[in-house]
Amino acid sequence: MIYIKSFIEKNSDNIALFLKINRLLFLISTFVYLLLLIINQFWNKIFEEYININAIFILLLMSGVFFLFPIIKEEEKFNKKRKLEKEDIFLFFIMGLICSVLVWIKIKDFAIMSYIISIIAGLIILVLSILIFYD
Amino acid sequence: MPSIYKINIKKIPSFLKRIVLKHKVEIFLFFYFILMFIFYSWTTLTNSQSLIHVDDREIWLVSHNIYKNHSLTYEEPLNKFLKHNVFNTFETVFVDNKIVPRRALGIYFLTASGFLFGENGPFFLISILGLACSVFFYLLTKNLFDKKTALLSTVLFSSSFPIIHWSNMLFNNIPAFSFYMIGLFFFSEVLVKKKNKIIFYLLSSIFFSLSIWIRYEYLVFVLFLIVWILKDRKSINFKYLVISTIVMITILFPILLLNNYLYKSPFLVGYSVKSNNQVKEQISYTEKQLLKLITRTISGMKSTFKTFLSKLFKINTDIVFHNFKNFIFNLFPQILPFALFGIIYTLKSKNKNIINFTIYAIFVLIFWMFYIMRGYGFGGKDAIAGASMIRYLFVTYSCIILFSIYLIFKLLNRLPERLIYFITILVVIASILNTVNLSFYGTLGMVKTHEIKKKINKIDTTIKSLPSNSIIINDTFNYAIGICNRKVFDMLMIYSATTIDLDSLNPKTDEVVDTTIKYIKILLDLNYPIYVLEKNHFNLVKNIEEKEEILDTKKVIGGDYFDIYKVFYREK
Repeated sequence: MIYIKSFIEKNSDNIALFLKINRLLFLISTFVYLLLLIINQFWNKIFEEYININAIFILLLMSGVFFLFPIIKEEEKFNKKRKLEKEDIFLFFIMGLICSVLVWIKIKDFAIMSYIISIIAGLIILVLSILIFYD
Repeated sequence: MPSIYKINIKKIPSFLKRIVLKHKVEIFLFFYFILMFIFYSWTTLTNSQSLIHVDDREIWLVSHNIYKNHSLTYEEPLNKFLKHNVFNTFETVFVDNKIVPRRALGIYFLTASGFLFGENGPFFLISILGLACSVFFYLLTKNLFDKKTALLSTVLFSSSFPIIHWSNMLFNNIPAFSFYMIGLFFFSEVLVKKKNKIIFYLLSSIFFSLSIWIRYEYLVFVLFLIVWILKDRKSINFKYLVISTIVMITILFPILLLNNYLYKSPFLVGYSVKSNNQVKEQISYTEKQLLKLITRTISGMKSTFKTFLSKLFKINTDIVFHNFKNFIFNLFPQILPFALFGIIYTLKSKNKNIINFTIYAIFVLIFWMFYIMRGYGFGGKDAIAGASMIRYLFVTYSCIILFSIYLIFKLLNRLPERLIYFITILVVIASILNTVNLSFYGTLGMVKTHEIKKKINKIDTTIKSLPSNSIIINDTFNYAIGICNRKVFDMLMIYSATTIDLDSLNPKTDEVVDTTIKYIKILLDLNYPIYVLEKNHFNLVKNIEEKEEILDTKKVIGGDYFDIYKVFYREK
């Protein structure tokens, strides 16, 4: 333990830099992973032939370990009320619209059903986002 | 001067606004749950319900018999004229020539009560319990975590493919899980909300007992609650705990009596009667020898525990990983990475209720992983939607969703807000697309299952026009399982396969056809009108026309995808 502590103290700058890079890596891999999962619903052949999504999953787990464990005991930012701004609502609206379009593309062969379900999906995204992020 | 009414009317919009803002989550959930109920009961609402599996057929037959004849057992009078039990499916269990229930008995009583509301009553009952499951999942998570974690996890859980799909099916998994959720909610009222009132103890024990009545493995889940109770023993009123335990034992005791009546031993259950032939022989032996109750009790207990322990300890890690990858990872890839970290975060939480619940959940998940995922090959990647085994994993799915959402909300305090908004919305979009994809395009997904059920329902409705004592000949590979309105002759039972295996059946086709023709003559002599439902795997009508000199066929009903032929003796 003493060796580990002294190693950390000696290399604190390098470790801080590593954690900073890892934080970025975690965020990027999370985005890429989620985006690829969504793309996978439409063009799954890309994953069979060119990209292995499992590799990104493993990268996400590894970067997650180094990002999440050091901050596990950090004090949380409590009592900070979140206020939604117009930009936030616009973001939710755009995401709801994207969800509607994606769902519609996915099931457009199912006539009227595709319109109903895609509208419902978009509305759920919009309303749910407002409800969970607005204090 | 304005009247008091005018002033009050002016206040209504602001009053409504206040109510809506105060209860916005509840109002959203109210409309959301109505929408979910439409999905949960879609097959029933579109009048397309039917049976598509030996399990739901067995549940339907036994519970319909309870409703009509007030008995758990029944006999098939025609079996004595034929060598094979062609009027039963291959999963039917016989004890002393009587057909007995195969699974935990509660589901039969529950479904039988559903018949009070008509033929579709049992199906609606399952959908209602699916909805209750989502509602109480929300209430439980709200007790344990907070309103927002509860809201997001409830939306993801209730809109997931397994819950929507299995709420449309007549199986016991949704009702058992639903009662378990309700029981857990009342239990959390005691431990989390510190409502030390006898009513909450009693309600939790009643609902836990109901879940055990419907699926026996919930007994183990309930027993694991000891871990939670021990960790939080200061919050427990032991007098109330003892009373609720006695109530639970009292509610569960009739199971032993019914088992003794049905399987000749209190601790023998339908599964072990079916799976263990030696036990079946032992039953008849003990019956003949009139051995004492204690001998039968020990024999039944031995058999049931042997089945249970053999399942628990025969671990095949390859199968566990295969099932984990295909039926957990592939169903929830968007949240699984968060769930893994979420468990660790909950264990490090400052809230001891969250820690205690997580420890309890870990016990349940580990036990369940070894018990249910270790032995069955649930199917390949292409069959995620069609794998009927995913109905066993509701506990696992609910925990995955809960822990991942907990982590996402934790990250909200660590990362830039808009970034987390974006990640969370991406997770929800990926979840919705996953559900849509599995439901609409999955092998035996919701749309495919709905189509099959609709077809069978149409056949079943059509045959109502045939005489009431008609016998319909078909096989398990086609429509035999789904027909309820008339007696069904299943040709597969002549082959007596324990599993449905076309490759091993094909060489036996001639034998099956010859035996069927022989049986048709016996049944015609008994004055039963005989009809053949085409298509069937054995091309029976064609075979009768080619092989038979004294039998003739005539098409009586023609449909888009089925034909019904009447079989009769040729006139001399």
